[in-house]
Amino acid sequence: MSKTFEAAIDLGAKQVPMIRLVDVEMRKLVDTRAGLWLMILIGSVIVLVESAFVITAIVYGENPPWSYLLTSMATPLGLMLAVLGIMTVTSEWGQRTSLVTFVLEPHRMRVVIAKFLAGTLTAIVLLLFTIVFTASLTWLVGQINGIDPMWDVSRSMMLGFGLTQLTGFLIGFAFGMLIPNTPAAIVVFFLYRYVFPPLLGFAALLWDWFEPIEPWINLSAALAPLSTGTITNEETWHLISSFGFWVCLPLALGSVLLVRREIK
Amino acid sequence: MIEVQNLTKSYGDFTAVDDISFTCRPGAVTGFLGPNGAGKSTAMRMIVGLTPPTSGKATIGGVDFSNIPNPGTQVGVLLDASAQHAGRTGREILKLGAVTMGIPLSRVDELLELVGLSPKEAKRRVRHYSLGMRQRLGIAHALLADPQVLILDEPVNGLDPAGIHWMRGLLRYQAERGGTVLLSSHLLREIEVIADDLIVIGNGRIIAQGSKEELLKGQGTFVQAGDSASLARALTDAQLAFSGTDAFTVDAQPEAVGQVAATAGIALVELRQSDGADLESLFLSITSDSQRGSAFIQGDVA
Repeated sequence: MSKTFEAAIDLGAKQVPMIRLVDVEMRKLVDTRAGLWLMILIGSVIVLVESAFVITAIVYGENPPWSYLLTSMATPLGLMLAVLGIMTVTSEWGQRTSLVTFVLEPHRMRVVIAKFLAGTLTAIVLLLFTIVFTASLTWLVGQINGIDPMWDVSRSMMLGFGLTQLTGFLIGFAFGMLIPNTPAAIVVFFLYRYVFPPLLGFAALLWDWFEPIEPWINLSAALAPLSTGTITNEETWHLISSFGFWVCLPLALGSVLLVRREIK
Repeated sequence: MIEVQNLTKSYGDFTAVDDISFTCRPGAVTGFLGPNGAGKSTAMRMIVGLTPPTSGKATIGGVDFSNIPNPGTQVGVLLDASAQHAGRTGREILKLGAVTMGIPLSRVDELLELVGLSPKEAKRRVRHYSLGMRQRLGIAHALLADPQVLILDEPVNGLDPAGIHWMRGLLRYQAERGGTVLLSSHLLREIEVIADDLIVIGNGRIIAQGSKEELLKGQGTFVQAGDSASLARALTDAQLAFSGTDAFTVDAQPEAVGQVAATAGIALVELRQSDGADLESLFLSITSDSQRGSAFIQGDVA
């Protein structure tokens, strides 16, 4: 009974490698019904919306170019990627799984980085799926209508589309970091997306002093040139500034709060 | 070895954990006993770095929890059996733990068998688990990598008597092979069966700590005389501290008390080592401070 034992903490052990943390976070995105259904929902919306467009086009004897199919996906995909971004972070809080997660990896920012990488990878896969799927539909329409498919998406337009969509995911992730509650974060995202831009425009009309400030924080407006594939120097600065305001700022603030927060 | 030094946690005016210090030695099961809301869980969360302490510190094997590499493989932790995603299956939860820790997935099945969750139960979502099943799953999770140190918050809560017996054997085995075990409970009877050392906490402060034998033995001597006033005078003259009005509990060995009585010529009715009721009455008195606690404990004792 009164034998003495040595303390047995091995400080030479390897810490959990990031790749395993990312692996776990990817699993967590799909191993619950909510997560799985979000993925199924995103996948089916892409397939159904595009198919509806194409069927309508064929019925009316039209020949929709690739750019039309791709940009028609911009809004629904943008919203869904934002929700994915939010849920990547907030799903940790709803059921107190954080009590386990942050005991297995006490360096909380490593968990955040793993979530970020897992979510970004998932968003990129969904994005690639959208691009490949719309391209196949463009080809199919060409075959059915018996004409050459209209490959009118330039490289810069493709890049712009991808970046805009990824920004949607990033905003969701940043909001999720700042507001650790899924419904609340989604509501705030919708306010940001639909209420805030007209409000900004209105404020710019109302107060002269605000008018020059507005483009620097209006991310929706700043993103618009990206999707057309051409962007001026000044617009680039507007984009960087508003991106910093809506993505980097909440992300940094949320990270500081998370590292200091009591997890219970 | 778990060392806690002057650990304090305040929330505004409320002090949840008030300057507690204790050590859990390897090779023993340390029971952390106190009514609900006494600060046990807060203290345990501070030990594993989830709650930042207001002051003081806690170390495991001499280091902060956050400095332990791959901590899941070295310290098994169960803080709240219900803190799991209700939509995951039991098996999936263990799998996530095993992947994080980097241990073979075969351990998942081994542990499921060890804690007595059947393959069929393991495939069900945790939403449909009873509290006892969740406890078993949580214990399996803590034991996944066969760690040397175990920190378990109310692990026996919700287990049936057979489960408690099983848990006792499990923790005994851990201690006998040199492991360090800290487990909390709000039930004296429960922890009495399992623990070697006890730390009793109430309202955030440590009220008693020591080995179980020491604490349960009680201290001092129980003495009663026909003429209690004379006995009280004799004890005061002999400078022995005592308490009680009719019969006394004296802070001295029975022999010394008997000597005092004999010298004073007082006939005793009873003289003996005081019994182990002290811890229980102490525990009841701290629990009756909070109504929540008192209802619980009295219910259990009755």
